[in-house]
Amino acid sequence: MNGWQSVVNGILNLLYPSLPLCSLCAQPVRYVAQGAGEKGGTVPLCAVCKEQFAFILDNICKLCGRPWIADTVCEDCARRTERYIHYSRSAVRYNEAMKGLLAQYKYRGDRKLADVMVSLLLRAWRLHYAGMKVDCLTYIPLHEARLLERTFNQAQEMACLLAHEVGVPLYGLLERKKATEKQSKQDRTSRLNALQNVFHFSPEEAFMLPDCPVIVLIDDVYTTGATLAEAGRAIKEGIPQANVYGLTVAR
Amino acid sequence: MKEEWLERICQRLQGRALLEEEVKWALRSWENELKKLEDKEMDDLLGLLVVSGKVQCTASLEAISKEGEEPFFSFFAWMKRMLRFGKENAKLAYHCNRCGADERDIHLVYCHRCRGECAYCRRCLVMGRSSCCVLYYLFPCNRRKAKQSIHAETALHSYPQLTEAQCAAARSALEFYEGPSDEKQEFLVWAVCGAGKTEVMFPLLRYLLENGRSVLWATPRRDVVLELAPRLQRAFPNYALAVLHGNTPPQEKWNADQLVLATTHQALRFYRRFDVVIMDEVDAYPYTSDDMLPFAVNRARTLSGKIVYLTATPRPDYQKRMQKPTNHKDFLPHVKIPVRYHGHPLPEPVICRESKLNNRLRTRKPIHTLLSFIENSEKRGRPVFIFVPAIRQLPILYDYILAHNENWKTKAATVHASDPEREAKVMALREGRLQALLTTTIMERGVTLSGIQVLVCQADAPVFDEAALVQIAGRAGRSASVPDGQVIFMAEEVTGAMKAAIRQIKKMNRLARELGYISYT
Repeated sequence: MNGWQSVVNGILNLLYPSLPLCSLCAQPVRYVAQGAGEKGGTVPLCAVCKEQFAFILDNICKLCGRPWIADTVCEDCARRTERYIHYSRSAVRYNEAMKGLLAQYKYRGDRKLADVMVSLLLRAWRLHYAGMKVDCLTYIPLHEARLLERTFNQAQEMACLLAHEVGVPLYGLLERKKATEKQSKQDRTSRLNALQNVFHFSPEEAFMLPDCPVIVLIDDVYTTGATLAEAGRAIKEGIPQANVYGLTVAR
Repeated sequence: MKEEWLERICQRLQGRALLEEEVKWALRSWENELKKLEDKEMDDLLGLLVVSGKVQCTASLEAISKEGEEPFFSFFAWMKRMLRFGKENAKLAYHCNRCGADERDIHLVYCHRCRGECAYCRRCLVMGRSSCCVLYYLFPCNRRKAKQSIHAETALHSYPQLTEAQCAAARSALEFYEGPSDEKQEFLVWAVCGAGKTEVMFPLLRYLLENGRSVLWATPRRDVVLELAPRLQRAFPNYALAVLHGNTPPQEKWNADQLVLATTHQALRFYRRFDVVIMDEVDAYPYTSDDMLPFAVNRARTLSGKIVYLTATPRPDYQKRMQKPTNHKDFLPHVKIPVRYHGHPLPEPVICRESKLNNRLRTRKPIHTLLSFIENSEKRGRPVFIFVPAIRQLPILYDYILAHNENWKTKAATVHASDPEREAKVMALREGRLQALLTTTIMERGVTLSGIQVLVCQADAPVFDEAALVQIAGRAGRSASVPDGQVIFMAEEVTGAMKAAIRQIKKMNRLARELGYISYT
């Protein structure tokens, strides 16, 4: 009597609500940790999965946000001569668990994981950007060919959801005209070289911005910082007075 | 030129159901000529395939309109619709053609390729993305002419080393295969742990291969595939064996062979190809928890093909089907192999109740059963497995044993699923450098060591269901030289699972005695 079974099931579910499932491992989440002011309770993560992430807290390089001695500048950043973005912050370290999560989201295309990624971004946002008056968010664009292949831009998707959560508008300020080889398959020098003049500022959506806008660039992972720097350069070409910051999920 | 390419492609990829990306992958890794083709030319080639009618093509994920679905008014359907009214009252229901997934595993997104709403299937995502904008190609299998080179009896006689019980089971399987094809298509071989169920299938395999039939041997885990591959290769040296799993190199992944050994997930890529599918360990994870795998296995066999399930511990639903009367439509034909190849009975587990077990373990008060078990094994020089329900109890138990007996420090180790030294520790136990392994249920299957004694600590935990306990008890008494072994279920209370496991083992032993297979008392 499958009909009656489902009615009984429905009533039981009303009386005893079933535990939410962890978004990553699909196990029931037993202890829902209340606290840390997390309104993003729509992304349940079980304790085991949460432990896998190495959250970056306060001991970071002032510029690129990598784990370092607090309030100082790391050696890589000290070497950089031109700085287009003021600084960049990240939510977690790019450890094995994060690599797996990103691979699943970006390369396999499991877009339901966008919620998990955005919840991590939110953490970093609350730590670093919540007190700032941010005028808009923007994202690193993908070339048309890559966009057709992957069918979505992960930075755009995450930025869109984040914009929704924090109430800051999202504008697409950049375009990518030149197709580059996948960054993930190149070494450091190739990555740095590949990105010369790859981004173009596109002014269509920028007319709503105030004079010295505070813009936060969203991307998935900060490896060399070359992408963010180039993007920052392109934005400053278009809006010389802009203050550009970076926010990535992993570092 | 194009025509002959089409022929060859259809020949090479026959009997498969592949996504667009998988077809391209297959073609690129096959012939150098094809490697050089641009994307656009590949698409043209595939288009030609479809137009020629040789290949069927659909979208891998389809939206089916829900309207007009119910000609018959049902009270429950009406209730469901009323309850659902608050939620998204979508008129479109999505269905994955590739793995048969329904709404629950399908996620709607905005897709750049479709410039609009699109959905993808999360259930078969491990094997590639099935989505509204991705095409799905079904390559039909050429009907092979059935020849009759050898008869069933010949196949049986070419394996004289099978024991009586194994022989009876093999004969039963052959009879089942030769039976009329419109009747039962599923068969279960219920072989106790250590009965040699792989060898039992050899006569059937020989019969099928010699008569030009194709066979798929599917098993849940990759390490079992890797373990079985050399054995099958040795048993059937004249036939090419395709070994498929997640990490097969591309040049081997698309072999079109008669005998295929693969993980169950790989069955998703086959379509109406095999005359017989042998499902090994059908009670193991993930086959039971994931609906996609039974669907894939069913689709991989031809319409008149048969499935043989191999297991030592069939799940309750299979057991119920086996108990029904023979002419019932749900009846599952089966054969039991109740005895191990060495002819000794299975060791029957003993239940020992210890009160306040958790407490005593933590505070290190003496627990008589555990301590005397360890002492006993130490005296007789036998390796020992102690099972605990979860990883977090391993350190507690380890400290407990050390607290009571210092010299176990070098002789005992803990093992769990994500332990990188798992193999090394099992090897150490085999060689005698370690005497005790504290472990979780990861060790319940597949490990064969001589002379083991087993203790299950906290056997009333939910993770120890009937199948798990029977498998654990099956670790003991595997070798002919040491056919007995102590098996103790230690718990605070006696659960139904514990009683059922012991009942099952006793029943098998009784059956074996009745059938005269037990050659020793």
